Amino acid sequence: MIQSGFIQYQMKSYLRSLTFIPPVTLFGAWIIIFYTYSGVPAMSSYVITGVSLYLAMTWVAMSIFSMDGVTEKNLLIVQLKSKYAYVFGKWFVCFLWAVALGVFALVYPLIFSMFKEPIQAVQLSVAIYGHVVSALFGILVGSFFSILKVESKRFAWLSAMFVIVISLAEQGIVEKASIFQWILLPFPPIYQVILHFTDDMPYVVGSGFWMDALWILIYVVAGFFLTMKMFLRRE
Amino acid sequence: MEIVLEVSDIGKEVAGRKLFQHVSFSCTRDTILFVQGGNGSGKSTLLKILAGIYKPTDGEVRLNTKKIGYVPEHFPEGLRFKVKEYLSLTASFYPSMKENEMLLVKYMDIFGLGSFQNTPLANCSKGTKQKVGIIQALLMRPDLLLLDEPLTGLDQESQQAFVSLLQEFRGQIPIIFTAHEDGPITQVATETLHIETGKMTVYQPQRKQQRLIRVKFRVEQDLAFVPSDRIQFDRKTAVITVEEDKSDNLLRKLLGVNCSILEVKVKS
Repeated sequence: MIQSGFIQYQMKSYLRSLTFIPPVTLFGAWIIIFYTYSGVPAMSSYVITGVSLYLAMTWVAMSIFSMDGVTEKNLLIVQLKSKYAYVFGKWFVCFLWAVALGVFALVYPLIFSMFKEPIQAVQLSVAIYGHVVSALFGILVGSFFSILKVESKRFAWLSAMFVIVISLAEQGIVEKASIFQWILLPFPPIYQVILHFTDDMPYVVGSGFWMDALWILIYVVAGFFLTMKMFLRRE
Repeated sequence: MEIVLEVSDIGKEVAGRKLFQHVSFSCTRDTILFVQGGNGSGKSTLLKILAGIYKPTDGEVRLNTKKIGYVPEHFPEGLRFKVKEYLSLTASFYPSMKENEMLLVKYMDIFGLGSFQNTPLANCSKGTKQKVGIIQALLMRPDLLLLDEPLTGLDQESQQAFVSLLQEFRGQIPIIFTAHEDGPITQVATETLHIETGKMTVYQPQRKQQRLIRVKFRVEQDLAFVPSDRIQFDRKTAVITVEEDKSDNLLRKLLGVNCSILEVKVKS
């Protein structure tokens, strides 16, 4: 389904488009600036870098999904013999970028010993999980709105930013008016990730972690499935 | 003979407008089908449906292969690759093909692209891009070849080379192409599909009487309005091939650009 030739094609095209520079530079610079001072708590710091990855990956995914012109896209679909291969290839390229950015965000503070206490294995596992989920949410939002093409490119960006802001503010909104609990269900459940990033010592995986993880898994699978269906319908 | 493609009563509607309807035909390896129709009749859309890019509004397309070579009417703009790099990359989508490199060299040679292999596609002329578009389709060794106005922008030599190549494919794979009017490519067709009626008929080329007009010109640019496949230059003179019913008009135009008419004769 994922063809290495197509991955190379997309990577080269994305790199040469230079549109990777703003999100990647901003993300990299932000991580370095964020860890200017050492002795910071590990999990609270990883929450911030995870959320940053969510934003950066939305940007990257929107650029990757909108860089091919109509004729180029049509030709690639015929060459790949399937629309599925086209979309999965694009997602895979996004994921490679997510791995690069995520590894940088996770490893940078460890290499330069920025945390006030040594990080436990379980904390690192949760941090990796959090970054993977944040990146997937970013790829999902970016690809969804890029494929949806609401009215114009500008509205696609606005819609994506709206979803990101609402998903980040979801818990605060629900606390003010519980009715929103159901209305906001389609938004990425980023709060269910953030909430487990505590600096309690010793760190223990909370009782609701696995239920939240299950909901996130269902959300991600359903989200990618719907995005694929939408692509097949629109193209 | 094995049927490679079968189209049953398909129609396509775009934004509430029916482009075509009740189109039915089938193709075997012997078929070279010329899709005819006026502007906006849906010829390109039909090819896109056969290529799997669009779905028909009605009817059904049954394909006995997934290896489809498709040449779009206009090669994509803004590709960020060099000529050979693009062709190698797209050929690598089919990893089992070990002879891709040899085939690539062969086709680049046929179309005279050797000196363009390291030229960025963005800097290539329309004709060169069209050649790249044709080669990418041939490189996948398709079981079905779909060509949307493939000769657009090609010089006469490349047109001839391509038509000869299509002759080689005759009997091996079905070829479906569109073209605006009878030209070199239509001579290889075995059948015609009239998209307006949706019916396929045996192809009968229109054999209009042709005339040869030999003219003396001042600068070559004066004759820029004559299609490149219709004119042959010899220093300060040129021989133009024209259909009989269009020759008076052409003569008037030629005199208008101060050309001297040296000879007019019927092409044998």
